[in-house]
Amino acid sequence: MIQPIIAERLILRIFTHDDAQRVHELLTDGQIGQYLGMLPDPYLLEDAESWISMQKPHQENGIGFTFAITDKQNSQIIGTVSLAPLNPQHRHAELGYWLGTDYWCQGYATEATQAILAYGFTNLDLLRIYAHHLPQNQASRNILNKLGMQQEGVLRKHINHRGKQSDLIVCSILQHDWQENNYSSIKPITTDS
Amino acid sequence: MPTNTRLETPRLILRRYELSEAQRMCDLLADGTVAALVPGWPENMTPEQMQAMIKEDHEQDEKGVASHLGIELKKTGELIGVAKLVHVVPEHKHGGFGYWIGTEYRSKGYMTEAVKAAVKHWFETFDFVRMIAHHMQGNDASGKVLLNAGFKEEGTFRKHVAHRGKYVDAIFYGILREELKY
Ligand SMILES: CC(C)(COP(=O)(O)OP(=O)(O)OC[C@H]1O[C@@H](n2cnc3c(N)ncnc32)[C@H](O)[C@@H]1OP(=O)(O)O)[C@@H](O)C(=O)NCCC(=O)NCCS
Repeated sequence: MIQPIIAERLILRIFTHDDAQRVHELLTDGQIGQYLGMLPDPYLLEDAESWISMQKPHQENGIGFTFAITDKQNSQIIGTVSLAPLNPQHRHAELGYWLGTDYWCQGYATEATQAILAYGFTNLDLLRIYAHHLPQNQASRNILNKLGMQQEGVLRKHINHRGKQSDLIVCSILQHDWQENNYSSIKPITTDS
Repeated sequence: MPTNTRLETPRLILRRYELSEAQRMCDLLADGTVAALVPGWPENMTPEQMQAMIKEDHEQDEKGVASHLGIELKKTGELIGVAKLVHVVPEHKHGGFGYWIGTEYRSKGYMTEAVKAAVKHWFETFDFVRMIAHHMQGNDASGKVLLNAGFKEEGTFRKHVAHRGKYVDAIFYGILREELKY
């Protein structure tokens, strides 16, 4: 069982089946789909259900960890943050995240991603965490910059996003740089034993 | 996907390789230079293991999720290497591939010739917008082949691959359909 990660205003916990409705609600609201490159379009309740049911085997095999971002005050899910896929042999993982549109611009994504980075580099002892974003997603880029991520390349026309081929920008941070730069001072308090 | 592909270039024929060529493949790989440069490549394969791998390659090709091409030297009719499309992503219209050639056949332009023919063929066969390949930092001959074939370097993924106890950078390349000039 994976213990929750406790941050300042947020608690990151694993998903349960009962969360599918809420995930679907958050992902079909407003403009979020414009920014998420890999989302099925249209996004159905079954998509949320199968996404959640895939998480458990991934966690058990150590090839991906996905957390619900919840508000400490009311336990409401406001988004997701993940280290998935994770490659245990190469010790790298992809950072992914999104927040429901109502929760943007309040520093939640920064808080949640900092917490999961600490989890990835300390608890999971990863050497490299990378992230992808669409060129137009400046908000996401700002978060990656705050995390200390560096741009490594532009994969040209790499993904099909809403019927059009789009570039994908790749950024990463290495465990060593994360430790050196004191990003590690932001530690998640976990109840992991 | 038809597995009876046969592509001809001035000096080479690209075609399916057979179970009967397992021993030949083992001989080509025996000096370990491919395993030294390709992470995850099994070392010292027996002909039986090689046959099992060839069978798997055929199965994937038949399912249309890969395309493995043996490189035959026209002059002698012998197999000298492989070019293989192993990462097909239909929803994003791209595919990734790898390649190797026996040591004594290197630096003669054979892989450049083979990759150009294979890439052209894969663009035609699969509905790709783009093709990708990568190599470990330091494998300059591999990078050269990709540049020769019109690929552009797109990024360096730092410490992306574990290889023989070290974590090594991976250099990524891509080519777009409209950049194919051959
Ligand atoms: C990489 C490999 C396929 C190249 O095959 P090849 O038939 O020798 O390739 P080509 O002759 O078409 O082109 C190689 C180019 O690299 C150059 N080259 C060869 N060895 C080199 C080296 N050590 N450093 C720099 N350049 C080198 C050649 O001069 C040639 O350049 P040119 O086209 O300007 O003349 C072959 O070396 C190989 O099988 N290596 C082991 C497996 C491997 O690395 N596979 C790729 C994994 S990503």
